[in-house]
Amino acid sequence: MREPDVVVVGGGPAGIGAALAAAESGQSVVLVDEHERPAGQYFKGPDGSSKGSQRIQHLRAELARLGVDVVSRGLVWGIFEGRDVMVVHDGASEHLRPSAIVLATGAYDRPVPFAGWTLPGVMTAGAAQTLVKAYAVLPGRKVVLAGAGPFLLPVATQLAEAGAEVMLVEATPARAWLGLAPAAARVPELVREGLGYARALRRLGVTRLSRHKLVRAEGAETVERAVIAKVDGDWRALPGSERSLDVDAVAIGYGFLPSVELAESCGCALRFDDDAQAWFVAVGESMETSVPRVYAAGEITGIAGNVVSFWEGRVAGASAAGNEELATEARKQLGPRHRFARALGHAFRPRPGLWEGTADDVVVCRCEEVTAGEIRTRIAGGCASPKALKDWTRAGMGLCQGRMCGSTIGRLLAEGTEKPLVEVPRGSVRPPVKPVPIHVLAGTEVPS
Amino acid sequence: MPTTSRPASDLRLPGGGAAVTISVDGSPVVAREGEPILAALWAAGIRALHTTAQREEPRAFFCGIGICFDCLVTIDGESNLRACMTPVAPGMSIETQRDPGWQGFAHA
Ligand SMILES: Cc1cc2nc3c(=O)[nH]c(=O)nc-3n(C[C@H](O)[C@H](O)[C@H](O)COP(=O)(O)OP(=O)(O)OC[C@H]3O[C@@H](n4cnc5c(N)ncnc54)[C@H](O)[C@@H]3O)c2cc1C
Repeated sequence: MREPDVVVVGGGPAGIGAALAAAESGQSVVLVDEHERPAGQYFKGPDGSSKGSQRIQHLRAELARLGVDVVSRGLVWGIFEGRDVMVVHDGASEHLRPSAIVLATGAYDRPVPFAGWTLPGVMTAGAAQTLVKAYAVLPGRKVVLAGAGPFLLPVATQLAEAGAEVMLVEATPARAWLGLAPAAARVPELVREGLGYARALRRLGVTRLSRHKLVRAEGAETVERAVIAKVDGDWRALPGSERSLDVDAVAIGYGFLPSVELAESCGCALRFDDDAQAWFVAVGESMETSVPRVYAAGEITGIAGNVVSFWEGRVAGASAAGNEELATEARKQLGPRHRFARALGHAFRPRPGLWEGTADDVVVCRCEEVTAGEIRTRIAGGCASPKALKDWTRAGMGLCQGRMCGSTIGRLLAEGTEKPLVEVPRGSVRPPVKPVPIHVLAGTEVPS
Repeated sequence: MPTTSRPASDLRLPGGGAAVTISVDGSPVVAREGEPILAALWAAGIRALHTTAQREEPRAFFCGIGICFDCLVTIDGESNLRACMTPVAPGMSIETQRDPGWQGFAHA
């Protein structure tokens, strides 16, 4: 067992910011991240000369210079008693007992089931971006990218720049962007970035359709067609407006859901965000959670982009180190950016048409292949919680541990029990928060 | 547009590590050292990475970032591994799989 001052979980902008601020404050820091090297979702990809790549190379150099112990390809599978951090690394388990923990586990694309979403070639916007940006592989030659929100712009640009023929299908009207103007005035760098994408999309000849959504994907062994339709203001498809497009990949992006499982399993209180229709880790001014000495930063506390994540990380790391001055300094970077993030979250919040009417034969739990119909039948029969549905249908029992179906199951429960989502019970989360080979756990003494 | 008969290198963009050969279901596939197996298989035109246990449906990846567990393949004899999280190494042997279920993993 090692006892560093601070353990940071997650090597994205938030985790890196936290590790740096704590190390600058004289703390010994261990940073654990699942990937080959610290980057997270925004900075992933090979070294190059782009501004983003320069920035992450600089941040990695800073981690090294300040002596942060970076454990890459490491998974934190559980945190016990708010202080015992269990890591699997290179096939072995390690036990860390720090005096403070910073959780910075990030987010993933909101899964939204529709007919054909399990076909090969149907993927999240994040997956399409990861393929092209981090791995230099096109997801397809002819891609429909559908959804809502600012993240679609960089993805469409990156796909088109790499040579794919892209159609960008947005559920929101074009004026959704204009409504952002008041909040945008204080974040000129983000406005420049957004306008840059809009120009690039025009230059690259990307077709852009507002007020449309993807209604299904079709194909035999792989996706061959994307069917889109016009939508009303609630994102309900207008009858008779369907049209079918030949494609070899489909990507969908309706915003992100936070990876709160580790925080939740460690007892941190969550807060419900009405716009995102999702639960985030609740934090105070210093980014401390409801569990003393456990901090949280980045997308798990609210979807706000990489810059906010980094500065929140710095607040958390400095606070964990008791360095009030550094925390106050970092906090100054947050105000206007937080306000802009909230405006974005509101403008592109999912509307009811997104999840209403998921057909009974659509698979909701991809791992255990449980359909919306089976789940609805059980709810009608009295199952009133994710736990009961898991016991009766196996939904949520697979390897993804409910990350792909959990939000939809919540929705179906809300619909079937006529409650708002915020009142629907959540599934319980217990370690290991991601599957760990049994031989690793077998040799491990779990602290109690 | 035909999608299955596409030439293998069609989706590759410039860049990446040195070319190495791995075996996929017994056939040689050219990959780049260090890239995730997922990237190599997708670029080679392989679409069904696994077939589900109940409905026997073809599946590939969905999230691409290690969350969805839908890019499961068998690597050097070990089944149910995520192609997106496992880097290519020379001489690796990959098999697309018929899902064996989830035994061998500890679960919450
Ligand atoms: C696929 C995807 C693409 C995105 N692309 C963009 C973009 O182009 N532009 C943009 O502004 N924003 C993008 N975002 C939003 C993005 O998440 C944030 O801007 C930023 O990266 C968030 O920083 P973070 O540190 O909170 O999380 P992340 O960057 O997601 O980093 C979290 C890290 O924690 C690791 N981790 C999680 N759980 C554990 C655990 N238990 N043990 C060990 N490690 C763990 C993850 O593997 C990951 O490396 C994207 C998000 C996703 C999901």
